[in-house]
Amino acid sequence: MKRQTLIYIIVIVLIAFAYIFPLYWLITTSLKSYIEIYANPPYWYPPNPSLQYYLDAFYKFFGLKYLINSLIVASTNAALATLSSLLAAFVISRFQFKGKDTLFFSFVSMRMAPPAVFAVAYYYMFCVTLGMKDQLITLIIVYLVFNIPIAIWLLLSAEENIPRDLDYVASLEGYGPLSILFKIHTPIIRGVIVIAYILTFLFAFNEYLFASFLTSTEARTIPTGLQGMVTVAGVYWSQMAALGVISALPGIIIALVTRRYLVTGLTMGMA
Amino acid sequence: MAVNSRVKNLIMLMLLPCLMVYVVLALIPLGFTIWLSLINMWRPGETHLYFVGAENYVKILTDPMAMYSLRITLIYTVVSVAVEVLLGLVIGALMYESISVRRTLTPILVIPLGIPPITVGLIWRFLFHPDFGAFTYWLRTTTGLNINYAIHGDQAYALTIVMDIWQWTPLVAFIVLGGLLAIPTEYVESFMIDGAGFFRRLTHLYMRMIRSNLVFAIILRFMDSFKVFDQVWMLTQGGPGTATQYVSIFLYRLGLISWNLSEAAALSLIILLIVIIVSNVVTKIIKR
Amino acid sequence: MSKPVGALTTTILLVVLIILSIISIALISTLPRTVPTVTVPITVPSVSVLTVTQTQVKTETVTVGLGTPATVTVTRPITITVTGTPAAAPAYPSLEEWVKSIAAKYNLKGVTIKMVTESTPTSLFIRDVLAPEFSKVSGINAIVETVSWDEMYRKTVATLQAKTTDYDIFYIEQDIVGQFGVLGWLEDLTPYLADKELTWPGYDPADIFALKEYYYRGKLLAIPFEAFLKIYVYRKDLFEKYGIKLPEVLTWDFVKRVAEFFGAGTKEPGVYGWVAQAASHPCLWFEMVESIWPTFGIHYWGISNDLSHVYFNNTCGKKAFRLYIELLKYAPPGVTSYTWDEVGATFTRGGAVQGLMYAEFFGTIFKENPAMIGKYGVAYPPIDPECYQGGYIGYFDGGGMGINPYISQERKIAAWLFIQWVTSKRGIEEIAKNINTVVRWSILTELGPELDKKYGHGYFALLMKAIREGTFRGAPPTPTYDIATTTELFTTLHKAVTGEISPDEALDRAAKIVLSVAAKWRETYGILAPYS
Repeated sequence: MKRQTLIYIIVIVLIAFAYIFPLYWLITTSLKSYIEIYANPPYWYPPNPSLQYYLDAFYKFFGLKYLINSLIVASTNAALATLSSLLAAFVISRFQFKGKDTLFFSFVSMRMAPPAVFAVAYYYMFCVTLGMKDQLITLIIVYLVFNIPIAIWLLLSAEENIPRDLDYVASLEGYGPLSILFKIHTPIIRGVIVIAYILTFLFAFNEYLFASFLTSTEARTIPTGLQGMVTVAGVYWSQMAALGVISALPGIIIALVTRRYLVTGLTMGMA
Repeated sequence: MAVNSRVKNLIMLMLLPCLMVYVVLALIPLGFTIWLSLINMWRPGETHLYFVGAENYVKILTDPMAMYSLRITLIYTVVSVAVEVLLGLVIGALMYESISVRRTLTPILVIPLGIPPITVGLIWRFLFHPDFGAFTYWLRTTTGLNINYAIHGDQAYALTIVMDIWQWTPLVAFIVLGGLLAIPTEYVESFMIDGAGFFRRLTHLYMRMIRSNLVFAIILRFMDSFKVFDQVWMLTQGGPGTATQYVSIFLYRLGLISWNLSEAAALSLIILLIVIIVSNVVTKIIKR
Repeated sequence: MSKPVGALTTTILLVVLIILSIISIALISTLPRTVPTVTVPITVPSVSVLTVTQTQVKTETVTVGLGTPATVTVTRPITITVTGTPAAAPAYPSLEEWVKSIAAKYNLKGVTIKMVTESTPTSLFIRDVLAPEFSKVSGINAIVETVSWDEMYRKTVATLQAKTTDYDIFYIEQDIVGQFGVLGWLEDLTPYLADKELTWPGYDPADIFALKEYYYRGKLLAIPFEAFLKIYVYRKDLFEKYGIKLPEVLTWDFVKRVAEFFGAGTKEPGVYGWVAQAASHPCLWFEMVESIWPTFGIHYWGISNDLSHVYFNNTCGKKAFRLYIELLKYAPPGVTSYTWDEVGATFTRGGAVQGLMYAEFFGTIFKENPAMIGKYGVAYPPIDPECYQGGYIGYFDGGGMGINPYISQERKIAAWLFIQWVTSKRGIEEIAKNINTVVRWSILTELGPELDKKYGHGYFALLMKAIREGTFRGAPPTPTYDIATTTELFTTLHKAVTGEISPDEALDRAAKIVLSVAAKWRETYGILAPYS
């Protein structure tokens, strides 16, 4: 037993270092000045920590606006993706019709195409034809294309694990399909629903290419803001690090708060 | 469930949102991409468009840079996913067996999942920057190893793989853990009674029982890893030279910087085909 | 184990999140935009002998902002010079008044115009100071979007190719005028300049020395707001400390010996002997064609003006590239990932003792690190006496504002007003004072010596000399954009930088690549005009 505990401890320490030190380094970089960042040997802690770079990131580089945009887009899109996937997953699971498997596969395949050329297509569709450029709603809609596949896969597996007898009993008692879904299934698979929401939220929050293509100044999101600084970096490493920390905080907080669901929600059942 | 016409309408209605998304956001762009791949849109502002048949496909398939890009992306994906799955299995199993490990590691492992890939690229850029990186300095002073990923392509390549593994192994670990927790405890107990060691448990019991989870993990990671862009762009922008010019970066450069949209469209479709085929094969093999 | 959480809670959670999103969207749209209050001093130009000066203060309330308008009180000091002689009639209204009157005449109040530009120091200044000023004065809402160089080109091409009206004004760099001209992508500004009504009487375009670079086949495609040289920059103080004297004619041999002397941070800790923009990025190609090869006798970017052959891979060209790569070993280790921004940043932190730099970065250097004031000197780029046979020796860079030809007439007028606001004498003066780039001869002669004294670099004296002697040129009217952004080209060059292939091999391959790209355009371009 002793040896086993030792192994556990080693594993924990290694993993803790591997994941906490990089984050620590990002945070300290965001508190150092440009000159301090270049110090040789490097400072392991910021000698004169300054929150100035966060203020710059928030206001001069519009980090606050981008953060709010990203939050709005991600939360709304995740809700829409989860809801529509839930409905579709229920239908695919519970009803028989021709081409059921093809339909499911088609939905999942939406995530398989490389985004570059699709971005051009979306640009022509939404910005040129419909004039919806630089608006949050455009992103909210477009992000469904890669979030529905995740949500629907997770939710379908969850649905498949619910015994059919439950439905039979419920229909005997006069429940219609919608009621069965929302009153009986949902409480059972709530863990998976939450996980689907979280994952789709994170993917929508972190997306760069479509956002960069379809937005300009008002609807810009955080990843776009960060990438926009890549070649302008030069003297702005500190501000970039600050923006990086800001971009990571919502995701980390959400992941930490809902970690219980990460553990129990990814069950997928047994097949 | 009883299916009458009213229920039939309800079913159509429930499928409608996903169907609409599929048609509008997937089929139409697909059609547009196919059209683009069959014409001569090779430079920005080309007004005289005409049909060129399969010429773009031939051009792309014989373009050494495009094929090179596909090759290094495939290797990158396979290596990353393989290591992620193996590590994820081990870590997931450890977390399954020991509650204290699970309690300690969960909050830590959850962190990289919440970080946008582009910020991950930034983090690793700060860690390994040739001028001021923490690890660069550290490795130089302790082992004399001079890491400069801005010059050595293979170092850059290795670094991107490390980044991918760093960020996504926790996801695989959680998927594995979720699957393991769903195994009825009687199975596990009967196995444990035989006194099997950890790795025996892993290969003979766990891997067999969580097949569908593994499929999900592998295919999800394969799809995403193959399309990697954000973090590599932030770290190397495809360099040095073409060492980390993965398919998405190559496509981005070809289609959106050089504006050779037709060849980019052809390549996009080829990639889509590859991912679909591989996903199907993987599913069939594992589900057996 | 797990607390019982009902379906009710889950649905409530989802609903709450959706409501939160809607509320946030509503809140964002009502957030007042912060507009910096700028007090604009108006001076009416005096025309004859002045006798009495009166100072008055005028207060007025101005409506600014989008959405919910906020009223801001602006106090303006007005200096009115009253002249004694009766023959003094005011020559023309001030720019501010004139802009206001034209905007009113064409009902431009509330019109929004959008400009996309690279995050150059000058553009940031326009975004933060000049644009809000203009918006306040004219009532036209001028929004400036500053992004990275790559992104800016992408958005510009996407808009023009799809013939949309996303942006009204584009940042047109001097080297892309030819390519956009051939595609017919920019509004011809000659009729605007000639239009007596739409052009401010005091505009004086002849004063803009950089204007001639923005013509394509007789059409004026953009008005420049920044122009600067790429020059040799060196640490005056360190040269003095070690007794290094700059020779009369700077040579690459001298540069190499200085680089060796300071080494890779060996002589002075943290100060490297050289710095360059050697990233796997078009910047590497730009550095070679703009700055290195002319000093080795290779002009016009090494391309013949009928686009049929290239000569940058001749003996001199290869010698140049080999030298360039050799010098990199005295530069900071990250140099193979540096673009022009990082070169500027290196000089900001005092990390290199010499290098070639776009002078626009002086503004950033001295603003971000005032300790560097007085420490830098400039000179003409070094030449290779064997290969250099005369001709221009350096690159005259710059950028300006061009108008989208597909927008409505109304917005074109609004855009033209904004362009004049930025590039009039006053606008250029503000830019010069803050950023150190200038496009007007009058401002250069007025402010140059003063700025030189303030920053101690002598750049403006050099600029005046360069203009008079014609020793610096812009890019040739070739398809520069298409060539420069060809991935295969700059990655091939970078492979020589990292040592994967030899420099000679890289140049031969590059020659083939450039020829194949140029071939795509040969018919459209025809025979190009040589440098005059």
